[in-house]
This record gives sequence, C-alpha cells and structure tokens, in this order.
Amino acid sequence: MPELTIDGRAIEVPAGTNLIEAARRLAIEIPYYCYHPALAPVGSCRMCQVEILEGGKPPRVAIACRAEATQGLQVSTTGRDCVAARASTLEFLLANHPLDCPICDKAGECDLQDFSYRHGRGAGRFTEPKRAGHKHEPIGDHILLDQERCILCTRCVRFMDEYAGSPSLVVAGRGDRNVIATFPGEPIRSNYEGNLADICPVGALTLKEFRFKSRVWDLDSAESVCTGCDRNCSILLETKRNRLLRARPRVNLRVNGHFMCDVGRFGLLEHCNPAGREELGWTRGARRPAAEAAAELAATLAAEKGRWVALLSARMTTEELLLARTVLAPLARALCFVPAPAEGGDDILFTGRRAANQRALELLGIDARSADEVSNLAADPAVAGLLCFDARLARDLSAAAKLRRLALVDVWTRPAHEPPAADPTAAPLGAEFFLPGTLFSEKEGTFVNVGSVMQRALRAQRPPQGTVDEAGFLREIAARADLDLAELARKPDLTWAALEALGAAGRTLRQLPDDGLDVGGGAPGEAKPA
Amino acid sequence: MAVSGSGPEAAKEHPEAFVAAMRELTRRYPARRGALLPILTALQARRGHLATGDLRLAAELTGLSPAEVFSIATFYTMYRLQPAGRFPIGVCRNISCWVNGSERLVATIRDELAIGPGERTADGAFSLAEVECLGSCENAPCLEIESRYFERVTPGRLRELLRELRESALDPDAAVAAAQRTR
Amino acid sequence: MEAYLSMEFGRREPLRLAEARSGGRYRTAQRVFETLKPEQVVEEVKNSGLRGRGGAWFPTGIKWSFMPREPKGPSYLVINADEGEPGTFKDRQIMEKDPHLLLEGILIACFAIRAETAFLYIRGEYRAAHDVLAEAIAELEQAGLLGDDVFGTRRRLRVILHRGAGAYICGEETALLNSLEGRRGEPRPKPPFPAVYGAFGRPTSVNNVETLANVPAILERGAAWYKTLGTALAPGNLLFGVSGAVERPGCYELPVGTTARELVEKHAGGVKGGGRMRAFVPGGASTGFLPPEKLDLAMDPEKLKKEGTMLGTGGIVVIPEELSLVDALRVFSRFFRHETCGQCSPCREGAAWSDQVIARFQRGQGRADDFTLLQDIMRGSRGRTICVFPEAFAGPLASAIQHFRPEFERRLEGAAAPGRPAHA
Repeated sequence: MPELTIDGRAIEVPAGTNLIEAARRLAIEIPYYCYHPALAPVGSCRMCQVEILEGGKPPRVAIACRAEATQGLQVSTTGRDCVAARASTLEFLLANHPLDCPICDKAGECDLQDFSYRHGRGAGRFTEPKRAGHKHEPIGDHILLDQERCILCTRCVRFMDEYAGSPSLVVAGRGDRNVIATFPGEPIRSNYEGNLADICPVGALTLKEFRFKSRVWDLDSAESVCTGCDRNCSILLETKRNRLLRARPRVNLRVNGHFMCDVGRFGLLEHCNPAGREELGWTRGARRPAAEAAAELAATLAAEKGRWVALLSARMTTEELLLARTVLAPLARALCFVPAPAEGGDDILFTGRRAANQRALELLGIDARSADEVSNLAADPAVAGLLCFDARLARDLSAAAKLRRLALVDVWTRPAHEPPAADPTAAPLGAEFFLPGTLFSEKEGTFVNVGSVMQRALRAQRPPQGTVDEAGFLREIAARADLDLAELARKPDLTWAALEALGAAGRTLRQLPDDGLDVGGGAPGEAKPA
Repeated sequence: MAVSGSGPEAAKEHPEAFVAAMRELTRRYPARRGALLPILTALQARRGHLATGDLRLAAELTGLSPAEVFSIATFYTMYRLQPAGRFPIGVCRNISCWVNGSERLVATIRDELAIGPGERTADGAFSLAEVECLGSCENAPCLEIESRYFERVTPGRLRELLRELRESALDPDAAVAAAQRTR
Repeated sequence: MEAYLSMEFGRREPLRLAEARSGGRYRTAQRVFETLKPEQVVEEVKNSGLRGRGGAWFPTGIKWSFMPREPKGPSYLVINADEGEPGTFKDRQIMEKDPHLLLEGILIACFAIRAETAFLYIRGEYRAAHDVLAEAIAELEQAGLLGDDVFGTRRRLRVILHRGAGAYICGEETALLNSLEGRRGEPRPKPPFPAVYGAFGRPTSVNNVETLANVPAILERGAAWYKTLGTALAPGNLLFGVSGAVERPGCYELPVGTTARELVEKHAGGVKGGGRMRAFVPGGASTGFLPPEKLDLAMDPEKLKKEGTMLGTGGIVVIPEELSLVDALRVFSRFFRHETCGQCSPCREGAAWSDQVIARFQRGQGRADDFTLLQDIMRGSRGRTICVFPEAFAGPLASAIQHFRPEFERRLEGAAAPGRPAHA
C-alpha cells in the first residue's frame, strides 16, 4: 500500500487510488466537476488541480483525478500555482454562466457556488455577451435541461452511457458551441433519469418535480431507505412542513452505490404524500377515532383467539414484524405473508419486487402462502376473519372473492386504493375494521433487503393527529390478550430483539453501521451496486 | 425538430446496393464504428445534407445510438444537418486568403446572390460558408464547392463561375467538376 | 542543393506507378523487405536524426522504437494527412503530385514497426489528393506491393484510405485516432501514448506525410548522408511554404536552417508588388507573428524555440504593411475559437474569450486592462489542458502583443482622434 503525503500529512492508501480519493480520506477537499467516483475519469474540467513534487523535480501542477497515489509522492493542495490554477478555471467557467442563482433550484447545494466561494477569486472579468442556450427544456419524463448553466463536465453524458446503459444524452457541437442535447425530438427514457439532477454539479439538470418547490436549506432531512422494491437503496427523505419534496440517494457501497432508480425516487413522492388519506378508523360501518377502532379490533382479536388469519406485509419494519410474530403467532389461526414476485426489474438497482422487507419476513420464518391459498383460508367457515396489514393485497383478494370479515390496517387513500365502483360512504373495501396505518417514513425501524442487508430508516414525517401506529396496535392486542411481552421489553430496543431473533448479535437501531449490517445469506442473482 | 424517418425507413430511402456497400465498409475496420465518418460522408453526398433518418441509419450500421451519431456529426464542420444550396460554396477566410482578398469574394457573393455567410439563396441554388484554411495557400484566395477547389479566384472569375454553375444542365457535382476544368 | 522530396512537384498529373518504378522507386522498399530486419530500419532512421514534420519535431526513430517488438495482436501505422495548420500546404503537394513517394515511405515504416495495416487519415477537404491516393493504392494492390505477399516476402500490408470531415484538431495525433475510430475528434490524455494504446486500442505510430516521404531517401542513401543536410539537431531538407503577400507563393524544398529572408526574398520573390511587410508568420498559425527585423532567423526548430516561437510546419505567411496586425491576429483568434474541441474548460472558454477581446480591439474598443486579462487567459490555459491547443492559440496572441503592442494601443477605446477612424 503506497504511502504519500498531502499538505504535509501522511496517509497509506490502496494501490491505484487517485489523489482526490486519497485526499478525501484525510478530509482534505480537492474540488472537482467532471470526476465522479462511479464513472471513469476524463480530466477535462481542470478543477482538481494540485501540485505534485516528485523526486527532486520542481513542483508541477497536475489534475488529481488522473494522478495515482504512489509511494513517496508529495502533494500540495495549497501551493500558489495550483491555487491560482483552480481560481483560473473558475473564472473561465463563470465567464458564460448566467446569473441565475436567485431563480435556480441548485442554490445552496451547487458546486459552482461552493467552489467559487472556497477556491475562486471573487470577481470575474468577463464583460462580453454571454452565450445563450435552451433553458428549462424537458429532456425526459423528469429532467429539465438548462444549456446556459451547463459547465460541460459531461457527467450526465457518461452516466447515461456507463451506468444507465443508454447513451441518449450527448455533447453536440464543437468548442464554445458545445451543448448537452438528446437526439433531436427524442427524449431520454430510463429508469435512472432522476440521478441526473444529483450528479449535475450545477443547476443545468433539475427535476421538474422539485422545481421552485423549496430552497434546499429549508428542507428537513432524514436518513432512510427506499421501499419501492427490496433493494432498499439508502436515501435521504427531504421534507418541508411535513410534505416529502424530494428523495435522493445516499452513498452506500454495500447496497446501492451512489444512485437510486426512478421507480423508487418518484414513487416515494406519491407514496409519502398520500392525497385523500383516510385519517379515521372504521368499525362496523361507522367512522371512529383511530384509538377507539384499535381498541375494538384488539378486543375482537383477543376474544376470537385462534380464529383469525393474519396476513403480514413487507411494507412493515423488521421490528413491527417481530412484534407481530410475537403477538399474533399465539393468537391467530394462521400467520403468513404472500411473497411478491420480481417483475420488470433491471440488472442495475431495481429488483422489480415491490415488497421492501420481504427478506425479513423470510428470515423471521413467517409462512409464505400464495394469494389463492390465503383466499381459501379466509373462505374456510371455521375462520372468523382476515386481519390484513396490506391494502393492495386486501384489495386484490377482495376483488377475487368476497371477504366475509376483513380487518385492514394500512394507509388508505380514496383515489389510489379504491376500486372504481366503491362507495365513498362505506369503509375501505367494506372492511368490518379499518385502522389508518402509518407510512414507513412516519416511523423508525429497519428493513432487510434482497441481499440480507439490514438498514435503518429514520422518521421523516409526522402521521396525522390521532393515528395509532402498527406497533401501538400490536401492543394493544397483547394487552387485551394478556400476552407477556416482558422478554421483549428487557431488550434495549426492538431492533436488538430482531437481530437476536435473526441469530445475530444484538445492537440498537442507532448502533447499526451507517451502510447496514449483513444478517445472513444473500439472494442469488442480485445486481452489483456501482 | 421533426424526426424524419426511423432506421429501417431511412434505409428504404437509399438503394439496397448503397446500404450493402455501407455495411461492407464497416467490415474494413477493426471496430464497426470506424466506418462512421465514411458512411456519413457518403450519406451526405446523396442528399446534400444529413437528415435525421440518415443519422439513424448510420447508427444502425455502426452499432451506435442515434444520439451518439448526432453528437459526432455535429462535431465536424463538413457535415450539414440542414439543407444547403445545390452548390454549397466555402470561401477560405484564413490568413493567406485573407491577405489576398477573400473578403472581396464574400462581398462579390453578397452583391451577386444577396446572401451572406450561413445563408442560402431563395431558389436553393447556392449557399455560402466561410471556411478555415484549405491548404492551398500558394493559390490564394481559394474557395471550394463540395471540396472541389477553385484557386486564385478573382471577383470577375467568381461571377463567371456562378453563372456557369447556375446555367449548367449537369448534376451539381458534375457541374462543379466541369467548371474546375475550365479554370 | 539536391532535392529528394519535391522532384515531381512541377507535374500537372501525378507520377504513376509504372513511371515511378522505372525511375527506381520501390527498389529501396524491396531491399528493406527482402534483406533487412525491422530493428535495423528503426536504428537507421534513429541515427539519421529525422524529426517529425507535422509541427512537433519529435524524433521519428525514437517514436518507432516505442512500438512493441513482439506484438501480441495488430500494430498500426497511421499517416497524419490532416494538414490543417493555416499557411501549410506541403503534404498536399506530395499527395497530389508524388503519391508513391509517400507510399514507399509507408511501406518501409510499416515494415519497421511491424504493422500490417496503415490507416491514411486525410482531411476531408483534400478531395483531389484523396482521389490520387486511391488510384495509387489500387496500382500498388494490382502490382502486389500491397496485399498478402508484399515483394514475395509473405508479409501482409494494406493501406486504408480514410477521409476526415473538417476539424483542425484532428491533426493532433490522439484526436486523429479518436476521429479514425468514428468518435468526436477530441484529444486523449497522455499517457497512455499511442505506442501503447492507439488506434482501436492497439499499439500505433502516427506519422506526418512529409516525415514518411523522407524515409525512402534515408534508407537508400543512409543516415550519414542525411545528417549532412540541414542542421545538427534537425537534419534533412524541409518543404517550406511561403504564402501571403509574396510574388511567388509556393512550396520550396531547402535545408532546415535556411533563413526566412532567403525563403521570402530569394525564392518567393519578396513582398508582392515590391511593398513592405508588416510581419511574418514563421511556421504556421500557432507560431505567431514576427517583425521583419527577424527575417534573418534560421528556420530551425532549435533557433526558433530560443526566439520564443516555433518552426512548426515551416509555413511562412507574409503580412503586408497595409494590413493591420490586429486584424491579422483576429483571423487566427477566430480560427482557434472555431477549432477548439471544447473538452477542457480553460481552452474552450479561453479561446472564445480571447477572440471576443480581440474583436473589441478591432472595433476600437480595447481596454487598458485587456493586456493583463489576455496574459491571464494564456497563463490559465497553457499547460493546463489535455492537449497543447492553448499553446497554439497563445502563439499569435502573445507574439502580437509582444512585438506589435503599439498597434493594439491605437485600438484602445478613446485612442482615436475625433474624426479619424480607430484603425490606422
């Protein structure tokens, strides 16, 4: 492992490491645009200039992205020449850059703003007419292109080609007529389009879903995971006044690399901002405050012990699933889940299995049953009813065959979940019991992905006033049924209990490593993250 | 920008023998895409410019995406993605031609044809571009039409050339070649 | 002086194979193929001191010695016939008038570097030269000098003629390789060098037309003979170009080291119409402007480097006194702005920005702090990019300000006396 010094500080790095990454390990910032850890380096932006001293020769200015850390190398990021070179690059880039900051979504997280502040000279001398180009032009389902703001780092071009496998974004023209473009009249089509807004260092590629919605410094941010499929990409949920305005990936080399897919990114915007949400509970045709409906349902389940079929959902956290198993296994006639197939996945990130925590269900030993089997079970005259934690599943089952007695615990929105001919004055699906559930973003817990990596998801939103969350409901049942949860209560938290139940050493939610914990036995055929 | 024709349809615009010859070109190179410039040049020679259908055909022949072909085509000065005149005139504006009166030739064209650089006559006969050094500096000032050179051009001889081309019954490239011979 | 490059330049029609062979052409190539080893050819060219005539003056034998001796797969020769440096027209003479001079050099070069395929990349505008070369290559194929059994030695060789499509930057060897591969003609970072990773990822030597035209004579008459011509560090004859405001513009074969004065006054007949020159370009646009006082400079790469300029492609352009140096500079700045590939921020922005500033000077709207600005633009881009394009656009700009500053000062805003035009 070569050892080198950067700004006088020594560090050992694996062979083949470039100077940007070597400096990063020392928390030394070398600014860059065209470089990206997930893409092959090109060395065209000339932002990452440093000085290199090699074996008695005078220091030379070089770009860090294509300079390999070798034994004995001495690097300076503060030498006068490289400081001037970086300031010069910024002056060149700002020459034709429009003064859009006041109206640009990227403000506050813009590398041009930030590097100009930290590495620029403060005043530009360009007084000629600036280049004009297309502004806020849609180039796909989600991205707007502003050619004037573009600094031609070509990350977007290389991302679409190297990562998304679709070379549909290109540089057109030559020299100072270069612009980013698609084939004339043809938008880009990709499940990874949203990442373009993240990798663009400036506001040239922005999301129409986020346009003018908020300044980034007004957003509240929570670390979470995407529940669109069972990849569980590490993400940030960014909200303002409790509304999810943006979901974007966090770097996690173990799970999703640097990116996430559009099914997740834009699906979450819908999912976490449910319009027309049913906020009250229902019992026997009448609306009730959620707490009352929960109490009534809990009492019923306790009283009719052994006669209800409980159907758990992969939308639930591992902790909720453990609690459910603990409470419902002794109480229910059958405790099961319906595995979701992987459909339409790509071999990049999206698995196509719309069941975020299915692996936890498997590892916790919950019975897997087909939808038909559950239907038959529910139809058995000896069965009192079906307790279902999944609205979509309940809807599909009741479409197939009338459910006699249904207790539904999930988020329900009239437009999204309801079949077309439903009666808006009746309970969802005509269920005897309905508890308004909570979104994953409204609680904290863990998810285990297709590769058996357990990750933490923190709370990003507040559920509606008066909501009883799933864990609270399960504890209510335990109380009614006189079940002893003392064993569980002795653990520092439910995450600890869940890990032990999975045969791993106990840790609390916050003790989990930031990039997740392997809880055993990855599924075959999973795509490698980049 | 309207899309004119997809790959298979553009192929139908060009005779089979031509498309087969283009495919053969891709086999001469260690990688198919090496034939891209020769293919684009051949496609442009047929229509006078490259239509989007031509770009798609080139993409299909070389295994590239249409966007990549578009990117490559827009890099090179000689490729035109918009229709030019039947006789696209390129007047060299670089140093030796400039010293020897290239600006007078541009002015002559403006007088005779009422067009400036980047423009095309209304009847579609001529268009004008200012081009960079043609490598015939000892014969300045030079102009070219589809890379056929006209050298030591005076305003008078330019006017004759325009007349001769306009009156020619031959197809454009033959007309230009014939005009070269009479210089 | 005995010409070995330009013997056929006076012809109306190109020299064809039959006549060429009866005059002795290809005998050297035959001897090389039949009796020599590749290493011996490389050694001879190294000893001759031949340096590349594409503008960079890199020793050709050394470039060939970088090629693998035991290649595991194809190696390529790529001929750089992209001649785009303004004021340069010598390669065109060779290709249009004496294609077999080039082709014999190609044969010998391929032998030396163990290449079985040569790509002849010719600029798209050189249609006439392309057609001549196509015929000459066909002649060689028919005669068995290209094909599967060259000179009956079982060696294979083919020359693939490939037309560019209009981009000066494709004269840069790695940009040329990208263009050959059907990409945008953008230069590649070096390392890796073409001898390691070149055309289609294979070891490649890229050589200029005129460089290769020197090779048959070197192999025929020997390195020792070659070193008697030209200068110690840059032997041989050069095809000098003289154009612009001269009586007899043309291509003149003379030893490296001939003075600019001899070329302009003796061979090209002096300034046209007996006038005076304002400036001259010594070796193509990138080499910038020199005042007439410098005419006695030897046109030799070492001497011109010491003078702060370059020999480049040896294309002299004479700017007459009646034309403005600011306007002449604008011809070049506009050219470089048009031709920068645009990859690197400093060059893309700097070439355009400096052109905009010079355009302001043309309009009499220069500003006093523009001089510092232009120096900063050059300093911020030279040595700071993937290729040496900034060095090229800085050539005319730096030399114009250094040697002709008063002309710029006359174009500062407010410099003109009222009622008199800004340019004088």
